[in-house]
Amino acid sequence: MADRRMRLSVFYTLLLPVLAISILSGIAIGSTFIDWQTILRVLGIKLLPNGWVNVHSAAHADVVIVWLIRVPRVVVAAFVGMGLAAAGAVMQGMFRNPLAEPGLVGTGAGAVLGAVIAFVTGWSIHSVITLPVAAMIGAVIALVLVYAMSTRGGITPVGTLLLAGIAVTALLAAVSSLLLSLSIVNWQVAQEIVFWMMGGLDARSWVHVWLCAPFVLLGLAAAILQARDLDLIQQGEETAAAFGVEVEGAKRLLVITAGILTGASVAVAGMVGFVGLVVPHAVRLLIGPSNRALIPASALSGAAFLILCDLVARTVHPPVEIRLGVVTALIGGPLFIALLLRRYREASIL
Amino acid sequence: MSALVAEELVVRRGDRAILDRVSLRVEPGGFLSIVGPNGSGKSTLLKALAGIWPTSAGSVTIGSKLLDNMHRREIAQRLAFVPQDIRMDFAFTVQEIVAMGRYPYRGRFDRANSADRDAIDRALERCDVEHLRKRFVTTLSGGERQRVAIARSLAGDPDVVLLDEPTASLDIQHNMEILDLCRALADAGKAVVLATHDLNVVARYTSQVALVDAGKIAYAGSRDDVLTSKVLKSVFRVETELLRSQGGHPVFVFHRRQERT
Repeated sequence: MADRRMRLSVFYTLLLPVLAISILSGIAIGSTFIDWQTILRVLGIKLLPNGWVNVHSAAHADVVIVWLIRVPRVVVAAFVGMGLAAAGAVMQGMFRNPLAEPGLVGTGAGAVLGAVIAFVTGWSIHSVITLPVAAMIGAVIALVLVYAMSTRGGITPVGTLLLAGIAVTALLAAVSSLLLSLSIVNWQVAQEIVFWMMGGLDARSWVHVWLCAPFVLLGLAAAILQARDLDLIQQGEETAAAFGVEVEGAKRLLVITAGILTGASVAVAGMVGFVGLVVPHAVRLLIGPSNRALIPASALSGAAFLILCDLVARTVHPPVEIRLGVVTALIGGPLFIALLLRRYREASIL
Repeated sequence: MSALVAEELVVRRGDRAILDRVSLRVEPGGFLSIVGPNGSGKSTLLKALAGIWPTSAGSVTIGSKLLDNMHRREIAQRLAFVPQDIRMDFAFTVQEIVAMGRYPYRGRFDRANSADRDAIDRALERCDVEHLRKRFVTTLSGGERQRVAIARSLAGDPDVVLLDEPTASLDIQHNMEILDLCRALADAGKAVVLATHDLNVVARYTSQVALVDAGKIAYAGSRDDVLTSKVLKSVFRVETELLRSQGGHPVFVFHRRQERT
C-alpha cells in the first residue's frame, strides 16, 4: 500500500530539471537541429538588456527559428499544459471524483464549436486572433448555459451540473460535427476543422502566447487562492459549509476558474485530451490531495508533459506532424490505465 | 445563558413546511437527542440549527448571538456540525483532515500556529485517533472515520456540537465508542445535539429528548417523560415494551401490532 508520499522538495527536485530539459529540447529539436549554445545566445539577445549579448553572435536564420518559431510554440505548449492540468485538478476536487476532467462543464465542446463556426464562416482567415477569440466566446457561452441549466433557487447540485455538462457537451459536439459534415465539400475548411478537433500547436506564434497566457495565469492564481475551500468541498458540501465555506459561491468561482483555464487552452491548441485527466491524477498519487500543493505542481507537470508530447508529435514522422491530441491520448491513455490498475491493487488510494 | 436556542423555526420546500415552528433550547453541558420517524425533519432541523439550510422564519441563537447576524466562519468557530454523509474519498492523512477544523480561525495562506497545533493534538487525543495521525483516511474503517470527523469538528473548539446519525453504519462497539465520546463532550461543558433513529441509544446516553414528527416537535422533555409506550405508539405506530437494564436505564423492545394479539 502506498502509505507514503513524495516530499514536495523531492518532487520539485525531479520535476524542474525535467521541465528545463523539455523546454530546451522543445526548442532544439526539429527539422533543423539547433545546439544549446545557439539557443542560449538567441535567448540572451532577446531577453537580456541591449548590448549584454553581441547581436551578431547568432545567425539571422537561427534567431528566426528559435525566437519566432520554436520558443513561442514551446511557451504556448507550456501554458496550455498548465491550464488543462490545473483545470483538471479543480474539476476533480469539485466533483469529488479523480476521474473528472476539464471539459466536463461544456467549455471544451463550446470552444471547439466556436472555432468551427470561425472556420465555416471564413472569419478565421481575417486575422490570427479571430479563431481563438471565437473559441473563447464558445467556451463562455457553453459554461453559462450549463450553469444556468443546473441552478435552481441559487443552488447548483454538482450531480446536476455534471449531467448538464455532459448533455451540453454532446449537443455542441453534434453541432460541430454537423457543420463539419456540411463543409466537407470544401476540403480545405473541413481539413482545418478536423485538425482543430484533434488539437495541435503548428504555426503558433507570440500572438497565441499573449492570447492564452494572461487567462491561464489569472485562472491559476484564482485556483490557488481557492485551494483551501476546494480541500473542504472535497470532504462534502455540508462539511465545507460547516467549516465556514460559502459553498454555492465557492462552487461558482471554481467552475468559472476551470472554465477560464480550459477555454484559454482549447482556444489556442484545439481539443487536447487526457492532460487534464491524467496529470493531476498522477501528481495527486505522488504528493497527496492537498490542493495548495497539488494545483501548482499539476500545472508545472502539465507544462512539461505537453511540451514533450508536442515534441513527439512533430518529430516522430517528419515532415508530417501527428496531431497533438492524438499523442496526448496515446501516451496519456496507457498511463491512465496503469494508474487505474494500480488503484485496484492498492484499493482506493485516490 | 443557553448555548443554543431555536425559536419558531420554519423551513419550507415549495409550499410544504418541512419544519413547522420548531423551538428548542440546549444548555452548556446538555445532551439533547432528536428522534423521530424517517422523513420527520430531524436532519433538516440539525442543518437549520447549523445555519446551512435556509429557514423561512424563526431564529437560532448561539450563545448571545443571532445566527442570521453571524458570518459563516464565525458560526463555524462556535458550532460544529458533523453530517451523516462523511466523504473521505481523497487520501488526506488523519492529521490533515483534523487540521481542516482550524480553517475557520486562519486566513487563506496562514500557516498553523502553536495554538492550532495544540488544538489539533487535543482533538486527536480526545477522539482516540492520535495513533492514526499519519494514516490515510481512505484506509480507515467506518468507526475510525467517524471519530476522525468528530475530531475535525472538535479541533475548532466549538461550544455546540451537532451530530447527524453518527452511528448509523457502525457496529455495536464503535457505536458505543462514539456515544461515550458525545457523553464526555457534554460532561466537559459542550452543548451536544444528536439526531438518531436508535431509541435505545437515546435511553442509555441522553437526558433530554425532542421527538420530531411531521416537521413539528411532538414531545420534548426529559427522557423518562418523552419515551413512554404511549408516546412511541402514537408517533412510530409500534407497541413498545419497556424493560430496565441492570444499570437502571430503560431498554425498549418493539413489536408490530399484529404480533401482539
